Amino acid sequence: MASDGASDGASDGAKEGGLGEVAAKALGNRSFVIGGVLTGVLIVVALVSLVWTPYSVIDMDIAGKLRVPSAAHWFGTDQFGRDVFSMMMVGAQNSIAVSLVAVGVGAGFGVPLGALAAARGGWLDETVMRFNDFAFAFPAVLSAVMITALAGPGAVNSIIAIGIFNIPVFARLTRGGALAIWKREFVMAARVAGKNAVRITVEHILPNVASILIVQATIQFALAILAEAGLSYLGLGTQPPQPSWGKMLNEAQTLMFLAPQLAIFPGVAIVLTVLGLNLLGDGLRDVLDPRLRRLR
Amino acid sequence: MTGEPILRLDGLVRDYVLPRRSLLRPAPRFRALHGVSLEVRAGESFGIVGESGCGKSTLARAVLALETPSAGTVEFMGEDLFALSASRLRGMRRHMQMVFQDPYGSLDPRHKVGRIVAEPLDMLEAGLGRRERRRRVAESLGRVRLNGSDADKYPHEFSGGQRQRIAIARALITHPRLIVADEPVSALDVSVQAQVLNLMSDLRRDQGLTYLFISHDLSVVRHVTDRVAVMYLGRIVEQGETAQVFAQPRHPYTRALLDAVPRPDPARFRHRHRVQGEAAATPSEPEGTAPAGGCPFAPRCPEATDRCRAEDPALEPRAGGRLAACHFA
Repeated sequence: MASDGASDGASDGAKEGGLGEVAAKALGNRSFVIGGVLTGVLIVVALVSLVWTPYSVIDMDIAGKLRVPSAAHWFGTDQFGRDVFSMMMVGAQNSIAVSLVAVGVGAGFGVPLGALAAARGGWLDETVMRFNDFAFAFPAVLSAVMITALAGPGAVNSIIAIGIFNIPVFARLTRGGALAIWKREFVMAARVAGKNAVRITVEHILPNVASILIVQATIQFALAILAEAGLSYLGLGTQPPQPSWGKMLNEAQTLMFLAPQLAIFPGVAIVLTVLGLNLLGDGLRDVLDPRLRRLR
Repeated sequence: MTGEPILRLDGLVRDYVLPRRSLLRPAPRFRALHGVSLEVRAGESFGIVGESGCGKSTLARAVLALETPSAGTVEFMGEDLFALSASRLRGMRRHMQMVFQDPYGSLDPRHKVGRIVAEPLDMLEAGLGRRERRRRVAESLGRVRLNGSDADKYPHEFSGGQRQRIAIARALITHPRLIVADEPVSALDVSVQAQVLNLMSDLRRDQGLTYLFISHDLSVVRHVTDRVAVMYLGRIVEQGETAQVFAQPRHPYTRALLDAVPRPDPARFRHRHRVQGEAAATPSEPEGTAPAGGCPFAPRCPEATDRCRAEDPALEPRAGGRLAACHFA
């Protein structure tokens, strides 16, 4: 009976599978596994840094500055003698926190706006989506620079800046997915049962667009990490003494020829994190919703 | 078997505004329903037939108050549905439910069957205890010959015919009086069609249901309806007892529809009434009909005369208790 799904191309045969089926498919997907491992390592490192780091990231040791990697300092030390490995760990925590909140802000405002636009249609839909286009037309990082320049640098302002430019991404995606679901017959069945638009949105529309939103969230998460690193590199994001990968890159550039490892380690960390999240997003999309090919 | 009217449509008109072609001219309109009036009696099965795009589904949505008509009234159990407050309308929904065409599209893939079947119950008879709710779901599933234990499965675990029976169980759970069935079997295999149709007939007999049965499939309509209305471009062109309409169609469009049904008899083939083209309901004509003033069917009618092109025939009683909209019926 389950084979009915296969003969029914337009329906959601594959994503209707049980949880075990989805898990089995996920483990067979190379992108998902590699992306999952990379992201998992990042999260574990960030969690460990909350309770333990090899050295303090604030205490300076000028005598032991610019050491090359050794058994005592795995990634060496920076120009103030701080342990680079410890700074990287705390930087991971910083990146995750900023990106998570920023994507949360984007989804928290964007998803309801998109769902509302799809449910109501008409002038409301037009208004919401034109504001979206307006926000979308600015390059996100550039706008984040503008906002932090106006409101002053700092982690909270960079969260707001990155978050605002995640709103249209989620609003647009939610609206598009929701419009397709609103046309389905089970929505009309819900109306025959007397459900109003709010209830239909919560019980039918959002669960059916959740998979594309989850996929997009992982990709936005990667972009937010890049944006946070970019802002911190420019000195607009995380402020000293809190370590951040972007700020480490900034400080390393003047010492590029003296101690290239100071730039290489955070640079590689950013690359691997973004790569991992993108692979995870790709893999998740294939697992949850094989009908969606590349979105972007 | 049949009694007083339970559903009465009067002069139902539904216009759709189409996207503007030019800023200066008014947006074109498409008239999906062109003044439809009919009465369905309690306990009967009333069929609506017509080719795709003739307004059948718009009619179904208007009957269930899912779509507000541009003009006209829908009176169900003596109440004008579009004059009711939102909460009274919701109260009326208990008595009218719908079965949809596509059993793959009409069940939310993310909900279990028990939740799907209980959907109208949760909304329209809120406050039932959990045990009572479970009992009602099992009872409704039993009526369509499914097991109560199927409530814990997802729709994808069922075949098309079983899914349609789940959809029927959902429609039955509030013990409605009217079921609007919009092409309920056209998405099913022929072998399964008969099974679902027989089930629907049995349910009508046992539960005293009234059906508004919409279909483009004449053989299906012939088997399950008592009376039938033939629709063309948003109007009823012929209406009467199903057996009589099929035996002696009065309107040339009905004749053409019946002749289009393939029949394994080559002798008949030569005498078919053939109709060319498609229904001329193109948006280019703002009225959504063929020539203004004339009979909408005239451009395709093999028997059309100058009178047909000039004068729109009204739906009037003809011999044999029949209504037909043709000058020559």
